Amino acid sequence: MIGLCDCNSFYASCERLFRPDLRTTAVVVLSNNDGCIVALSSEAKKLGIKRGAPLFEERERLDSIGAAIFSSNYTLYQDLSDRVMDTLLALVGNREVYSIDEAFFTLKNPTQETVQTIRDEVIRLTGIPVSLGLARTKTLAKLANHEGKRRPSGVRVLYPEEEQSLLKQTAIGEVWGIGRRREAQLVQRGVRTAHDFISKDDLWIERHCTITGLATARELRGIPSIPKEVEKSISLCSGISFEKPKESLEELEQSIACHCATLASKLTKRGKQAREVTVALYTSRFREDYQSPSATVTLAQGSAYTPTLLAAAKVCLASIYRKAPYKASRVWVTYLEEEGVHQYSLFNSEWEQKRIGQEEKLSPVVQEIQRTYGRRALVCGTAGSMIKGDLMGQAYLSPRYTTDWKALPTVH
Amino acid sequence: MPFFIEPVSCGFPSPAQDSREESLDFNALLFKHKANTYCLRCKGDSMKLKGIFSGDILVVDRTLRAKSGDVIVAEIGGAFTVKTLLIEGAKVILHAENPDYADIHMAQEEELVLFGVVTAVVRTLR
Repeated sequence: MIGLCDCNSFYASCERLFRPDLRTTAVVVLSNNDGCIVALSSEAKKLGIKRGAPLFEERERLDSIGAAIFSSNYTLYQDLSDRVMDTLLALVGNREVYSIDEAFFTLKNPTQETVQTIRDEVIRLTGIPVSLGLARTKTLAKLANHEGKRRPSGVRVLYPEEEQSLLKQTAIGEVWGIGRRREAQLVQRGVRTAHDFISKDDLWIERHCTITGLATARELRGIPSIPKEVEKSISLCSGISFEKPKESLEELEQSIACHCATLASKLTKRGKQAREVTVALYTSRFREDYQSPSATVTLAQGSAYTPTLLAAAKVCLASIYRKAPYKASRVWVTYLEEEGVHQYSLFNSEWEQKRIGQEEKLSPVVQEIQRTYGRRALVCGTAGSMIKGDLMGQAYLSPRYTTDWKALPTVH
Repeated sequence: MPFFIEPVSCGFPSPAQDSREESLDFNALLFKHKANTYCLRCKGDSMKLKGIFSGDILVVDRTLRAKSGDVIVAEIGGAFTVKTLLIEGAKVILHAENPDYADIHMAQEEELVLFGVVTAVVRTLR
């Protein structure tokens, strides 16, 4: 069967791990710039506070119950995520990391007891609470996990003979892969539950929900139809939302430069180089004229070198830029390949070859300086003032407990 | 005919070549279960007779089941505490290795919230 291991209120659980004083306190974690609530512990959920709510709207309610508020500390979350994933792998023998707090795995003939043991061990070994759900397919495992979360045991094995009755109780919008718009369309056509959905014939489903919807239906019928996640590292992303909207090309270039430096160091760490660079800008979602222009440039050669990525990103930016109050910028690198793969093309100019040579010499030096003195020690000139202005807005940041010797949790 | 792949400038291969081993690796010594080991910083002198001083780094392994006599980190009253675990029949005691500190006797119905077993203490001198 296929299992899904999902960490409960992951960011909030991470913030709690080294804070025994917060074991029963409501904990919320904020988005970049401390704008919105992105994660909350069950105590905060019980109050009716919702994910995505702006902090200022919930401030009073949070204070009234003495909730602990944290800025997002991704360094901590990633380290603890790696620990959970490694532990799961050691216990089960396989796993496919799906997101920072979820992983699929396969387990033959699971019994309630073995699954319970795996779950309890992950929690004992890492200190991070998890729930497990097992079923015949990933989509069903996701539903089983949801059930497991509501049980004190934290686990749910969904056997084939139990599927139909669960699907009858499952609203179509709760199914993994059915987005809000699709949900509305389906409900309008009388499809309210997951069971209603799989009762339709394939032609109907494909006509109304495309081939992706058909894959979801097959999954709900117990036929695995979602291919193993292609290596997650096929793309990397760096993004930031601005405290104040940015309008000028120059300011946007600075943010893009920062993203490129981040991505270059991520790529190098993974031993990869990217062939494609995508830049996107976003205006406020709350404005009527919401826009999110984006553009992609393909590099002649894969690169993990900041100036090269930045040059490409600037081309993208120039092509999409129109004066508007942008709230966020994002850069993706895609089409990742192993470092050092140079398919010298027929059209490679001498200049191109020279550039690659330069990169190979300079990149390790830059990475070494950044490793020793921190990621912001050496950045492209364009990135300049981003360092001071926009990276703030983390008023409630917890220490990097597990990755910084100076920030270790204390014990008396 | 045998030949040596390494360029040997002095003409003879090192007689110790076949005896080469990996250098000592502190990670292997201290982090036997890397994913399940956390480091905590000791504050205070409640464990001084065990040679654990304020400022020392405690290596805490969560894979181990705590036995009587182990130095452990537990959660007491909303804080981490490092003590020696003593189990005498049904009695569970958190013993401070310093006469200035009283032992903590766990009440019968109270469950010890164990964070992990301390497997090493690291102190750098300069």
